[in-house]
Amino acid sequence: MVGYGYAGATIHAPLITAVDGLHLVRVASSQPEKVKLRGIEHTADATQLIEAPDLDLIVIATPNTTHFGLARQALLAGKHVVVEKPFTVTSAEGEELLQLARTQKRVLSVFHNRRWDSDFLTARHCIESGLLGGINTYHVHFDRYRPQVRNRWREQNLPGSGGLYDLGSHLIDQALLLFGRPRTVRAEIAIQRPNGPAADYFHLQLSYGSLKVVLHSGSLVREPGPRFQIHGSRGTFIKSGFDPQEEALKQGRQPNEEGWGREDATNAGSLLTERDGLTLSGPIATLPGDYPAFYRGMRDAIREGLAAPVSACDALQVIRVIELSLASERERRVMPFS
Amino acid sequence: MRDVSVGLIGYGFASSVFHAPLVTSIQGLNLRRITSHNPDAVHADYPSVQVDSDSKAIFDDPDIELVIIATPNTSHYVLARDALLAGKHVVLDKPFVVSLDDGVELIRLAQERERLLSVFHNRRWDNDFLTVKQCIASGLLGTVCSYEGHYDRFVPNVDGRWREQPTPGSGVLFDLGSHLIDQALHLFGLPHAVTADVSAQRPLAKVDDYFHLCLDYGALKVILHASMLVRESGPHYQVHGNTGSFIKYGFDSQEDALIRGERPGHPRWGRDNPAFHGKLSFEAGGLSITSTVETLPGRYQSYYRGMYAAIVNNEPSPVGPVDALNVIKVIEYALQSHREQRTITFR
Repeated sequence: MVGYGYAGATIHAPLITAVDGLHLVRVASSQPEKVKLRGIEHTADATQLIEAPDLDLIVIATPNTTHFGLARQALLAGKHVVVEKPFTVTSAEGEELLQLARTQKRVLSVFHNRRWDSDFLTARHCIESGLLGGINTYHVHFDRYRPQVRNRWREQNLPGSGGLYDLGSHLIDQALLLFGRPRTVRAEIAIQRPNGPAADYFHLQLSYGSLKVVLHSGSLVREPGPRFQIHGSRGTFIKSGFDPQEEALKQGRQPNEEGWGREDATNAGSLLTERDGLTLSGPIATLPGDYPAFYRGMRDAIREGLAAPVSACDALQVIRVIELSLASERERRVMPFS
Repeated sequence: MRDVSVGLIGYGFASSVFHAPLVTSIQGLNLRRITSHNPDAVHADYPSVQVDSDSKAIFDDPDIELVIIATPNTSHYVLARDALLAGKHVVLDKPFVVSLDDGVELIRLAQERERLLSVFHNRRWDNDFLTVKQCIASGLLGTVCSYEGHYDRFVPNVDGRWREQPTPGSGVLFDLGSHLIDQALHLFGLPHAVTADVSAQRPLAKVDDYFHLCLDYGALKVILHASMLVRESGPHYQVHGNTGSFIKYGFDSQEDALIRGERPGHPRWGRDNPAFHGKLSFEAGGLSITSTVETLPGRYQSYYRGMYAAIVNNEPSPVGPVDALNVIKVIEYALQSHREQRTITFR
């Protein structure tokens, strides 16, 4: 693994460790003590790590601007690669990596872990099982309360930083997974906090004709409203709360422990649906979240040649939507998806 | 206290459910004449009111001081113009007019004739909106940075009412949007820019039945939304400030109460179902507090009480015509934004 900041240390390392058949051997990082604390080998030199003959898979969990260069280097070295989301800063970089993975015949995947969020899995199941009928409205919020600007690279005004790349990439990936490519993209991206250096607010509208998707994130939301509001011809799914896995990982809990990914029952979503002439409404049990599924999928893709858990193609579409969103904000207009 | 005689033009849904019952609940307002092609329907509700088939009877009646116009939107301009020319004070049902120019002309005429011109933006007196307004005014939310208002319903089938026929001023943006826009402008004034998606979401809809409006006030973002395909509504209002949040589900009770035949003064008038009381989260003295806020009672009667006071005591009108004109301005900008697929900046 390259990078041992928040994503590397808190999210990737414990997930990799929890999956049978994956072995986290070595980490390239500027923080040797932190790495050794976990009992993992450390190197200061990313190139040395990437080219080491004893490694099959390189996980890149570094700041967004470095994803492209490191992933390229790893593919050229014949490694399979996982890139932390967002895939790349530009779609041109993403395309180049996609091509390279093809010619090198290596697995290239992007860590869109929120496909395995408890609430998203439940929402997806409600939609795909037909409980809601044809979907006309899909509103998802990723709101937080961070009144103070923190001095992290994620919050600085760099290419590929800001809320849209950081949180937006999750919401976009989820929407594309459910509904495919939109016809148009419209975005409002803003700095709401006084003295905020980078965008901390976005409001994205993806139009699919009669299906309208709204993806929204604010940093000054003390008490969020519903996270998912999905309306279809036969029903509605509304859910508040949040997937518990990131919080559990922060607390040092292990992904293979009993009850992993189970959300507090008080946050159960409410489902209204029609069945056999009856209108039914009530709470719906939230499916457990399952981030380890990503790395199990990665293991199987490498060992057995199965499809990657998140295709690089999907991840590239996410970057395209981000680029169109930035263009929409810049040009103050609705962008057709070309 | 003197009486003000009132003439009402039109006796469809808006008149029979809102205007006539509210006007007759106000001491000092005397509903004298109603223009309608259906005298039986009027007399069933108001046996002593004079029913005329032509609005001219109201304009020519020297006793009538106030004319209420509750007809399809396209006829608002001509009827209001004729009423002002006849020297009457005028209340128009919302939306004010179907084009900005018509509104400007009516305001000019009202000034020239020194008559009151007001628009029935009754939803300023919805119980939930009054509560939202008070939460903001209390300062508990801090500086408001995000305001989202929804008007969602489940009406999967398109009906044949004029509101759903493709004429100027029809569609959900004029109909329900005018409420949400008026409320937002009432709280925050005119935005810097408007971006809108105004479309027909239902397969057979002939006019827009969906809108998603983004009003940009710089750091403050306002989102106004309506859809007819929402089986079960999410929050009606979501307001976030830098120190607190207010989230409110449910819907004001007065329209349903009026339909049931209840009137202002009823013991439960304007009250909210306690299950829908909003949730306020804020910080006080370093403590994080989450509380339920008892919804303030709604009071549509305040609108007509205000009209009476404006006519008799020269008090300011409850909804000024410039406010109503600004609503039409935002609607026009929203339609332009949708047509041109871009953000429209206010000049």
